[in-house]
Amino acid sequence: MSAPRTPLLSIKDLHIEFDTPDGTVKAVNGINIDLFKGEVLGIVGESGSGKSQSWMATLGLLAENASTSGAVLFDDHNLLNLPTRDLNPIRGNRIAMVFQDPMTSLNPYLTVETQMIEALRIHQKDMSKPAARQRCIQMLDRVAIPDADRRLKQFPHELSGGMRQRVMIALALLNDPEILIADEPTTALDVTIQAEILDILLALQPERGMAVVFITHALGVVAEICSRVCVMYAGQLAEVGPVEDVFTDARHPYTLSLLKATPRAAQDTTEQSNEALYAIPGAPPNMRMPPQGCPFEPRCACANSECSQENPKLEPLDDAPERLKACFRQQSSAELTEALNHGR
Amino acid sequence: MSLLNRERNEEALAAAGEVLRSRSLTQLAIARFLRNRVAVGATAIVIVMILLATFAPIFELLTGYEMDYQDRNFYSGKAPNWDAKHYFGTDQNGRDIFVRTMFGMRISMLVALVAASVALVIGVGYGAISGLAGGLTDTIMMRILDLLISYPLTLIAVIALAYFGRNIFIVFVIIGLVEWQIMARVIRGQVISLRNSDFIEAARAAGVRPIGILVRHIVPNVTGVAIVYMTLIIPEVILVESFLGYLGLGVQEPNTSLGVLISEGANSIERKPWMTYGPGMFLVVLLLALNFVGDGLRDAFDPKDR
Amino acid sequence: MAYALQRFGQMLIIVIIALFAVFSTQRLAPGGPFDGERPPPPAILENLRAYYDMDLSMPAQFYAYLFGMAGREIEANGTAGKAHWFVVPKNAEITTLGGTTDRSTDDDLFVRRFCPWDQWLGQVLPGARAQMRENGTVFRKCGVVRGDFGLSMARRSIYVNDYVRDGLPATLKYAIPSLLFALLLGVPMGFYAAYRQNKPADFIMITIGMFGTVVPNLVMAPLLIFLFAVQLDAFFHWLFVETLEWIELARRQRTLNLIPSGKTGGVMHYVLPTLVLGTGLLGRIVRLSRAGALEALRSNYVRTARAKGLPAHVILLRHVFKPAILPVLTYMGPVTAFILTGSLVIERAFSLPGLGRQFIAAATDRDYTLLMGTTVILLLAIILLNFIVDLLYTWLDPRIRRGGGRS
Repeated sequence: MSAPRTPLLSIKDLHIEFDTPDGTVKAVNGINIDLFKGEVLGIVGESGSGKSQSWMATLGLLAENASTSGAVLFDDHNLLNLPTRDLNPIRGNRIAMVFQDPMTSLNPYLTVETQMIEALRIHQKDMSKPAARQRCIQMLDRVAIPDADRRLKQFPHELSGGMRQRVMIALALLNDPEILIADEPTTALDVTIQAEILDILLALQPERGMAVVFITHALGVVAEICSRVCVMYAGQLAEVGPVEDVFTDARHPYTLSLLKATPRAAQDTTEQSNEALYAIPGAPPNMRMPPQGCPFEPRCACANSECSQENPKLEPLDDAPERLKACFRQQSSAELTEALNHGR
Repeated sequence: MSLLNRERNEEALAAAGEVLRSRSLTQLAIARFLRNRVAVGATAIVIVMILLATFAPIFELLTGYEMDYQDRNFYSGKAPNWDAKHYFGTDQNGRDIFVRTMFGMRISMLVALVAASVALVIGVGYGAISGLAGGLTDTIMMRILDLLISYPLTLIAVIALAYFGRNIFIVFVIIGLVEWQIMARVIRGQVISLRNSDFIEAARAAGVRPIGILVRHIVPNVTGVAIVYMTLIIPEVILVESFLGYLGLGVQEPNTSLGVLISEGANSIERKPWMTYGPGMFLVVLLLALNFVGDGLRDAFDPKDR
Repeated sequence: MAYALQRFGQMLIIVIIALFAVFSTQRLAPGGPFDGERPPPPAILENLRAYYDMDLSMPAQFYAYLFGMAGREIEANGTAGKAHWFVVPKNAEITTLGGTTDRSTDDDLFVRRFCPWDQWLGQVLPGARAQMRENGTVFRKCGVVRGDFGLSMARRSIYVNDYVRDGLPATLKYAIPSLLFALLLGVPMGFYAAYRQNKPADFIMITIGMFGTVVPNLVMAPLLIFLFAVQLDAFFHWLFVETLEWIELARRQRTLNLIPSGKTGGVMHYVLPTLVLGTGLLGRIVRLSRAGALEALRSNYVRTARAKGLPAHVILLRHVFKPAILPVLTYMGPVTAFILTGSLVIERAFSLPGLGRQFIAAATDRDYTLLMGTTVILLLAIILLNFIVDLLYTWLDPRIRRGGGRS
């Protein structure tokens, strides 16, 4: 890390709350994330850790009952309180998003063509319909959809799941966005198709020099494609850093547990095959009443009284300033692993 | 109704937060219902109206149902007069409209009870058979239901009443025959989703016999839904009864119903508008309150539908 | 299209079943059309029953009603014979359709109109019998399938076709405008409410929807009559005649009669009926379209549309409209039922000469043919509207258009 780079987009102290009939759910509690140009940032966490919601908030896509505070700075705008009229030229154009469920994310009542062309022409007003159509065909070719001309005329229900997700990616990339937010784009798909989709994303990212935010709960995928990773737990960041460092030398007990709970093929068979898969004890906290201290404290093998009193802040590591973690424990990865194994 | 549901009581909410983890689905639903202020208010109104209807004879004693023969013009009807204790005025026969309205409500309540029960029995039966049988039977039964919903069974009821209906209970049963389709559809949906649910699967795998599954799992789970939808049928039933009464096909003199009273009032709306006010107001308030109760119950039992 | 036709076929079967149900209920119910306080003499009664085919077995009656039946002859002395066309006895007195009286010759064949009191009414076909003998032409009652509903049983000189011809337009005159009123106003209102969910506008729409649904026609009708036809007129009378001393108005008529409460005549007479029926429909349509739009607005594909940067009006019109209109469209089937049921109340409340009134009159008078006739018209209206709805459905929902059914 040489001179400090200016981030392309930065999330500052973002809070998201959902107002539900059964109480207020504090989904995200003060996270700070910087996204730099051309990087692939992985966001990892369990379901309900707020990883998707924090990026939905970026594009103003939260449900009606959500309220936010903090800031999302992009190009001198705070996206959080930008009125929809000013947000529209940004979303779909400079920041695009691919969603988790390709089955329901395309409008079943409109043809693929209608849905793609409208995305293009809303941002490039002077583009003619045939030109837009041509561009759509190019883009579909680019995401490896054969017979794009015919596919354009079809309705979403006539496409397979993988095909729809590719259409979604093509849709997102139509306007050459600077940032692509991929919200679990492969979760709903078959494993073989997952690989294809990842390949497509990996091929397209450097070619366009865009920043990709890859939200997932699959650590393997993160290791494969991301340069930096943010680990989220209960609406907070647990650990942030370059992927290799975090995965080989995790400093937060949660990251470690998560890594330990991931089933591995090939390499570790000798060591782990006879053991049951590790599961983190307990359940994530009820986000209607988040705990006062560290949210991971009840499940943490290394916790002490300090952890239940105060919520640790996200701070740079002493030995690696580009890495951050939110934990009072300062042990090394090996020591933490020891504690974890002991705790079982 | 989401907006109205949102008006909630902060304290109840905090309590409900505690409840979330431990209580059963029914208790949760009751807690949710109690938090819905509009529904609770509506329930109170319905209870008051039930009491009013039940004790209608008392009002007869209080205000004097008898015609006022002292007044030579009693037959022309009197505007509401609090001093004479004719709160809603009197009708063309000099009878007190408030008392008549209370007696009319009695009939409405009776209809609600009898006809809704008839609808409940038919609807649950039809829906359960369709849902449990599955396959071709289910398809055919649902197709028939689909088509029936587009037909005005009320008109068939008009014919049937014109031919058979002079007995008050025949009236009620015929009304019940009109309003069962939605119940049948909902029950069928519930039965099917139960049939496919994991815990039934588990029970079956564990060797529980079909009868056991039916009694232990399906019946208790369907009961709640059936009750909720019965509360939604009740206002419909009352509406149909008042409609038939309005057309002169429902209950006959000396019995009366809200529809009959409104019909009488509508005939002389220009000269004696008060004859319509009382029964009309009570009918609207009753229907409105029952609707809120039904909606509240449905929302409480099925919170995703908001 | 195939889907809509298939549904149409199913509806048609139901229509036949419904007709048979009504038909058999009529015949099986105690009492009949001819046993009023002064029943006709036995000979005439027998003649009447023969004319209306009531001496046949039930399936045969139903068949005769649907398709007509050849071959019933009624002799001059009033006994039922076997021919269906009527041979007028020689020298019988005939009232022709023009109203003139005539004497029949030997070979006159009487078609259609028949009055059971020693009097023959209708069209006389001179020489018809000879024609029949020569080339075997069969004259027959037409039956419902050929558009002949027969004679009314209560007023035996009037054709049910004539009742329908008079009644149907009177009903449609307020039914269609009220449906348009409800759709054109209700759908945008529902959409707007969904778009502004939980805002004051939404609350107003919900309240309108609630009251429209809950306040029954039979309360709404007298209420509107009292407000608009009575009070408003009284107010204008007070304003113009008493306050502004517009003598000319006072001289010509007592009141302005701005919005009359029905009965006869021009457009203004249909304003209140339309409003009463329209508000009931409006309430339901507001609720349905609001629910539909809310569901669509919460859907993932609308989220995608928002992520594309589309402005709100494009999202509402292009992405939300179709899925949100579908529940409203589905409701158009029951809407027909609602209008038909409502027409009974409205025609009574406003004294309109529509089908609904005839329906009730027919049911209470045991006028079998009239009841069947109005029922047929009502059922036809229902299946026609349902057919249109199904066509629209296939047009709107691509999943039906390309095979498969409505899920």
